[in-house]
Amino acid sequence: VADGLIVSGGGSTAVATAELFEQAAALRQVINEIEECLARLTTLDGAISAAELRSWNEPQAMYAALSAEEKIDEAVGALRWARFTAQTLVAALDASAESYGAVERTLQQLNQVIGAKLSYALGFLFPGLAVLLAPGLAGAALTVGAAYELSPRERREALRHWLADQNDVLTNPQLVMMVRLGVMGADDFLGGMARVHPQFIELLGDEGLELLGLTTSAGLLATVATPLGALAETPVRVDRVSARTDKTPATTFEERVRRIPQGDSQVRIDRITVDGAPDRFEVYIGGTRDLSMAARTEPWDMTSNVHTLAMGDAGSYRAAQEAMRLAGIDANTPVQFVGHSQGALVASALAGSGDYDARGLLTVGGVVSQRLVPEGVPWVAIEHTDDLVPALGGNRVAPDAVLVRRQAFLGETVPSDTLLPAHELGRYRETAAMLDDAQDGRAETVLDTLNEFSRGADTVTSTRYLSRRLPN
Amino acid sequence: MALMDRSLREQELRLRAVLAIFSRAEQRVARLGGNVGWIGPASDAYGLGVHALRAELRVTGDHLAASLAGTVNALSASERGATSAPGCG
Repeated sequence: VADGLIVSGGGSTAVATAELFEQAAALRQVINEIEECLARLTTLDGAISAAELRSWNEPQAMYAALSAEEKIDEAVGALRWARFTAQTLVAALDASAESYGAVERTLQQLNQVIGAKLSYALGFLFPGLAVLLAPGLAGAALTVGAAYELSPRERREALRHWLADQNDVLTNPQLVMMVRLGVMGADDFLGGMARVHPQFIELLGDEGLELLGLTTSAGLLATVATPLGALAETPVRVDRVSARTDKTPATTFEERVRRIPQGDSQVRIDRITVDGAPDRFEVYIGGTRDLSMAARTEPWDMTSNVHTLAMGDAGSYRAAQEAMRLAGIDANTPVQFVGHSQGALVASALAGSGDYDARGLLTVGGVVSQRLVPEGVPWVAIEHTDDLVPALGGNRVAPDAVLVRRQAFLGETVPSDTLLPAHELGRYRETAAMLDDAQDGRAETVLDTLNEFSRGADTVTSTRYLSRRLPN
Repeated sequence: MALMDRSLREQELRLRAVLAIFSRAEQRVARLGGNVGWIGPASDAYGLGVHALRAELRVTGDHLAASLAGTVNALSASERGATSAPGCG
């Protein structure tokens, strides 16, 4: 379907388009209504007996009443057929969603196993190649990085434009899937290189105890890069830059995504005052602002991305924590999190940290590592299947989270004026609006929980926070 | 006969209530699209199923309307009979 949303999770094993779940829900209501009609008609049927009618000495009235009785019987028969048809349609829709979910899970497991074995074999067979290539690749990467940092602004823009011209390739669901598998196979590759027994790697890795995986790979990358001057963490400073009082809290997915900050300030915190209850907060966290590998002044950079994935001491994570402290949020304050891209990663890490009374989470285009997945927190994650960024978080393992997927550029020409257009916040706003319109049962359950949080709000005060890195 | 009239009046009210519920179900089915993300024969089969459901509900709607009309006619005929009966003019 053009613009079709695929919904999964929410504690269910069924996976299907939002349209399918919507129609199944409508048909269930139809079945309930038919059953109510049948119950009422059945009691009606015995109200006047045929013998009573036949003894009526008003022939015209008698024939009309007998004909009405006959039509009631026929209506009951037709309703039973209609109920059977509606039940058959619902059963078909449910079976389709369950079998789609089963096929998708099987394919994902199969891909993961094949990817892990292939990565191990590559690492095992060509460790020399990796060792041989590593200095060259690292040197090339550093040279390119340094050239990028030192090059004039026009050159950087030219590079961005060149990359944006490759959007057709970069915004391809197949490439996104390969990147996801590559991320999942990184630990297996290293295991192969180190000649560790494959079953031991399998036991420790994503297919086993999940002790090795994206977190360890990101940690290793940070450890290797830091001595070379890249991905080195720094202290951060956070300032309150603006505050204003609105009248209403956000009530839809789209409104929440719209509130994610995009300008200089990276965090917005809404304080919701409810009569007779403690103040509660919604924390909105923006995406990556700086793509360079070396930490400069912007904490929402690649250094923070890698350190948050590694569950390390990331600048953006500390900055968000500090903004929350400035807003008056402590371990007992009810709080919900909304984030895009790196903001989604930070939001899920904060929600899953156990340091806050997290009541809900909405992430869009998030690089969400498996270890950061918060347990027991109502969560809707929106991802575009042609967005490369969420794939960097590997396979998702959170059966309770409602995952909503959509191919942003299905049947559309991918624009080349920006880099990774499927990752843009504006595109995610469109998808969030579609989700609001779809009225999907599972997503609506989470939305109700998110909205319950701010029900009866007196005032909503929004404050924006700007963070900067400080020299070490 | 008053008892019969009362029963028919009650039947009329109940049928109207059934028709109101039925009308909601019919409108819901009318809004169902034929496309749920499937392609090919499965999609066609689903579309056909929805079409069959609409047809069955249309037949049901006709029966319900006819039973209501029959009930109303019976009541009218009964009232006409009562007014034209000897001693009632």
